[in-house]
Amino acid sequence: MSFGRPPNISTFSPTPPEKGSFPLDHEGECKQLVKEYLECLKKNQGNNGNCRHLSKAYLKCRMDKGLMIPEEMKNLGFQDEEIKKTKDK
Amino acid sequence: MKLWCFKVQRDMHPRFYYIIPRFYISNFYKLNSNKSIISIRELLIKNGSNRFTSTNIQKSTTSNARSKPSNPYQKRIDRNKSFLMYTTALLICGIGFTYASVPLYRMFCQTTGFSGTPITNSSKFSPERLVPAKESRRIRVHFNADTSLALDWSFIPQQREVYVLPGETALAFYTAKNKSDQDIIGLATYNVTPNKAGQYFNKIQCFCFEEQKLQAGEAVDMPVFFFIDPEFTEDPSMRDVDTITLSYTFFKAKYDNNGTLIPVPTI
Repeated sequence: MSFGRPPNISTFSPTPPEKGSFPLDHEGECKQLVKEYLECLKKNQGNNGNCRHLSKAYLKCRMDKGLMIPEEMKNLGFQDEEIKKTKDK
Repeated sequence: MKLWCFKVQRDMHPRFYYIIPRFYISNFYKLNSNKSIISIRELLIKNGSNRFTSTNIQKSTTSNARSKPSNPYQKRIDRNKSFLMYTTALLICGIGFTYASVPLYRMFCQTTGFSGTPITNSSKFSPERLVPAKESRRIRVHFNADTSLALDWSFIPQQREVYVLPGETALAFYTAKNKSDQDIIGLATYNVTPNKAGQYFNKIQCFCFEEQKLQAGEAVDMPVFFFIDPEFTEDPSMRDVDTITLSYTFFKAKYDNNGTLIPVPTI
């Protein structure tokens, strides 16, 4: 990008997201799930492992309301939860 | 007819032969089989005496032009011919390389992402890689938000940090509020610190690089869905990385008269 800078081996270059950009939730249709997720994070001191079911619910809400292109949950990294569900059944 | 050549005495010490630059030799001197310099004048003498020669000049002892059946410039002709062949081949190679460089450069950019080319290889987002690595430690992902001074938005992360495992997808929220009384388009870019960890930070979906328009006074939640590549655990240089900071910066953008989106500079 700039000529003459000192050599830096580890440079960072931004990469585009895989599925692009989230459409903005102007009407706040999934806002309740956002609040639930953030409260769960606060309770668990930011530990993501316990709150993943809520993030999955939020993404599902987005897909239902047309704010996200429908995608299979295992492509979004939730396959272990689905395996757990079938095991419990 | 005067011969344009320098006089070199045949009984000169061979050391002095090297003082004369070699390119002069090709025009004015020849190298006989002994690799000693003789002038053209002496070369002609070997082929037959003429009125320019003097009897003091000795003939070269070794056979030179006599042994060759054709003319004494055959070596030069052969050398020139091979030189011409090499030059023509080099020229053709150069032209061919120039034509081939366009698709080659494009392929190189796409594989390495050189100079900002987006890497559209989606193999690192395959479902097999999105499995949390349960044995490794949790990485703290810290969130930071900035806005340009020209942008009258308040832009803050909704959570300070999240602890994730490599391979585990996580959701994070930022809230942006348009504090002004006009509709403003914002454009975000991001940065990951430390730099060496940036290659393992993959975003599935976020709000960067595309315009986000906020109405006057509107507040909206902007999610980021990301994960840390499972290969993070196998990289020895990542062993000391416990915190990754994701920093978003919002800039103001507007459409100019031609309909293209341009950033508004911070004055």
